[in-house]
Amino acid sequence: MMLQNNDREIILQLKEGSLEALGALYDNHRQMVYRTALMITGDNQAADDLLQDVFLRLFRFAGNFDAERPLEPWLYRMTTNLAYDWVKHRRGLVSSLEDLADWLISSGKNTPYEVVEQQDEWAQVQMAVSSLPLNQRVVVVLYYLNDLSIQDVSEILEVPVGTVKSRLHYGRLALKRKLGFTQEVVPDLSYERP
Amino acid sequence: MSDPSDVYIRRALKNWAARQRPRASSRARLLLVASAPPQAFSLEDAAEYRTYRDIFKPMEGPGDRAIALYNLSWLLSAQFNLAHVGRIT
Repeated sequence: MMLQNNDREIILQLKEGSLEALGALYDNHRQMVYRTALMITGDNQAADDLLQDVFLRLFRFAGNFDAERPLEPWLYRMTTNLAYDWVKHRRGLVSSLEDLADWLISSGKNTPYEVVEQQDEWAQVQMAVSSLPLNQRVVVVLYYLNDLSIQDVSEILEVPVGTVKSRLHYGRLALKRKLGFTQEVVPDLSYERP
Repeated sequence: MSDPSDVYIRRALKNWAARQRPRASSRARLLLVASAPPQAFSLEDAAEYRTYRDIFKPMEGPGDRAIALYNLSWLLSAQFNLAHVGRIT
């Protein structure tokens, strides 16, 4: 991962407690942190909270940072760790109660076929990613959304390369099935590649 | 490790992500909290996210626990019975 040219100077200012530097780093990296958190948690409010938390930690622990090293791996690691914790805390009773609420709200209004028709392409993408097991979801988000290499993902998650490949393989299979990228469709569309 | 479908999956995820943006007030909120003295805000508090905290209010005594158990049993009962009705209809 490349060190962004201006990050080094900003991190040096951040180490001295500059709020302007914090704002500048937030401007540079907020989209990446927010979208990563959102795709892992599937919750806008949680993604907003995580965005705050990641940059607050960056500000509080800036003194320990090496300005010569790229900031992005730290941001990815912190975002995925906090998103992991959030998803684990939310699992169980909360999700089952939410499922119940969703079922109560939707029952009697729409058949499953109508519901599927109403979901647009974006909702399908989010649902497909959210349906992946957490370990696969995190790898898929880092690899596809953030364009990280398998080696980078391995270092950020601190798991072996083989584990990342395995999670990516199964995550990809599930996404292909859920997004409709079947074996028959993909070769026909290959001319659209940029 | 690459796959022919990678370009399509990547495009689908990136197109989705391009539409997602944090709230406009997030930056001001961050700077406001960061400008507070360190002891005024602990990062342990930040780990308890609002959505989670809103659902599970802290319990204060035996009475609160009894009410929570009563509510939980009612909800689980409703979930079981309504799921059963759903299967019949």
